[in-house]
Amino acid sequence: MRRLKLPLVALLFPLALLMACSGNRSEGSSGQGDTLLFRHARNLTVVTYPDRMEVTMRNPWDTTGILGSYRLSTPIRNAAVFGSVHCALFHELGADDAVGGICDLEYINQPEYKEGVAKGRIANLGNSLQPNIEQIINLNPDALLPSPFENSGGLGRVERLGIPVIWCADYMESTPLARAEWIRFYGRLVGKAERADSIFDAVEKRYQDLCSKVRNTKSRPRLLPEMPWSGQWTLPGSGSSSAKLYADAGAEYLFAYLEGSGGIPLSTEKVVDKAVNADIWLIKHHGKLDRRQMVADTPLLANIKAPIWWCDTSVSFIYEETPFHPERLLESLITILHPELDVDATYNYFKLLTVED
Amino acid sequence: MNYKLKLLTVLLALLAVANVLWGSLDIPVRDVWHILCGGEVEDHPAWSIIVLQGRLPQMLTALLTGMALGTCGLLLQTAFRNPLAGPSILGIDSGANLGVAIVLLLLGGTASIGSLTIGGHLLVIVAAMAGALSIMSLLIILGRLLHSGVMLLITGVIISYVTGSIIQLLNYSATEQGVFSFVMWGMGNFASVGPERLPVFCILCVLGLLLALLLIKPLDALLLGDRYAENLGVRIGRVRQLLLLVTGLLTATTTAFCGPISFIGLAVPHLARLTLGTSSHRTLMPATMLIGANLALACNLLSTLPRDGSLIPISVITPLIGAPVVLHVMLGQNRNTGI
Repeated sequence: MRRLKLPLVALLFPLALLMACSGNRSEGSSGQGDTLLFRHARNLTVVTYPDRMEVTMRNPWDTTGILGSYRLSTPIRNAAVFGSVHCALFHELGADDAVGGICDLEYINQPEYKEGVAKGRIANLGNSLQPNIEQIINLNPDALLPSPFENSGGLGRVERLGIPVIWCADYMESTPLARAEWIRFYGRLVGKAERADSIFDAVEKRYQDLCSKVRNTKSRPRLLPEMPWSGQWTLPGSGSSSAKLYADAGAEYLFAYLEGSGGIPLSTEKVVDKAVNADIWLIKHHGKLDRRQMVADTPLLANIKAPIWWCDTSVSFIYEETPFHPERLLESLITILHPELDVDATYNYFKLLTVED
Repeated sequence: MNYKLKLLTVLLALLAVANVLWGSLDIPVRDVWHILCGGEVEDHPAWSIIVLQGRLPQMLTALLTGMALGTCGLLLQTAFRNPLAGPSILGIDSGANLGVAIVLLLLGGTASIGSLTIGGHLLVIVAAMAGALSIMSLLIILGRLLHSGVMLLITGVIISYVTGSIIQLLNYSATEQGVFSFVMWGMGNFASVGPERLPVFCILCVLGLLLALLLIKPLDALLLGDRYAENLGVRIGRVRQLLLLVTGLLTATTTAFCGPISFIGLAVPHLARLTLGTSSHRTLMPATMLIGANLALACNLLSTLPRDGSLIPISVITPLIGAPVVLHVMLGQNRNTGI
């Protein structure tokens, strides 16, 4: 009898699962859903209904798997947002009221949120990697919006609270426009679909206009990004959205041969050998930058004669603004790489490093 | 000169040459030689600076760091009669870690004193030096109050725990770039001393090593026990203070300039004892210096093993070599004591 049981269970389990799935579908469908067509984003499938949405996120680290599958009542009114990028996004969407709690307060620049925390309207949930579980229970949010990273192991106990955890895996999209298009998903989440669509349409149009302008030029300045730390120089791989952005900005990325979509560490020796031919050197740095000090720290950098264009990330909003506004970063890069195009840039995150700096 | 010391000297010369010839970038040997003779390679203008300002100072830094850390380990193991004592056990390098953590995690990599603003690696060196020397001063003061070596060792361990928890707290609320910089610094790097800072590094290391050589006689006397040493006229308290000063200076210098390099200080004295089969510091001290230098140069070579241009961090390699040595010593002791 026991021998019979196992095959029977094996046969019935998939059948039961099938029935459960189809049951859920018929139960939840109060009307015909609209599948949102994404023009660039590849890791997201969204079906919207008048009162809810069904979302499936592909696992960016294992594209055969699913990162998350959600059925969410929309719009959400009380979200726990884990990152400064998404706080800035919600602010732009005009959905400040939907933010009930935030993590990593010290990195958030929006005065509305800082004030909200000070007045007790918004809960301070502590560190995003180890959020304060008591504060979350007290807040009782509609959804948690953390950023995932590979093999992070999830949020531990927080995930067992039964609150939907919406992994904001937008940064793992492979092109700048694909990442920016997630704004359409976030917009629907907070009931600001039209506003989100119009923002993204403007982003897309400006980005593509700039790309077509660049396509008409023949020059391709050789670009060297970033700087070394402790003998290692981490450079974006050819599959990364940074490499795509450099190409769109009309640069010849000196390390376009590096495979991979993340950062690839190389020795300073190896990078400098190629970097002597760079025309532009682009650096994002927290705090002031001094070329003499850089050479004193790493003498091999004396070989690189290219002018340095740098962005002081301690005062710039580059990290908050550009993930969902890549056109701003693109126009900033084109101004440096192709000044002859005169792209009428409103945003310029980089400035030329001079001796006075 | 002992033939084993001669062999170690020859090996040192070979490894030093290999460190200049071999790097993460493939430069033909004849071109390296041409550059060392004052020439330039026309098609590759960067190669001259890579060899002269990159590989040569890096080789010297590795050599001196290996010598310094090995010597520190030997001094501490003899003074405290503890085979597992090393530069990290007294908490001096934890002090350096704390200094760097304050600068990178709390201050964001720049600091201003009046109108003077410093940043970059210079600030890291200053902070690490300040942190290490503060802990060393604290230990010297405590050394006067605590007359037992074991108590001083325990104090060092406690200091390490306290600094470790402060660093964790700083890490917890630091920026992404701050954490990244601190982690990268913690991986150790012999390439961080350029020609500009090499003279200071060399002077401090050579000074520490010379002072260590002056301690050979009292160290040999200490091997016979504190009372016997005192009978021989050795002033135990003063020797211990001098020893703390020397190990503090050497650990602070190497950690400040190269980041924390683990296991060399712990493993090298044992390797020297195993190689020479003696406990006399007259032979053991030079052998420790030579083996330390050889080991550091070998680790530096191994760090360039991946031929795709990336580097293996030094702090990944040194434990791989050091851990089996420590295990061997512990198992040997187990057998001797019958535990």
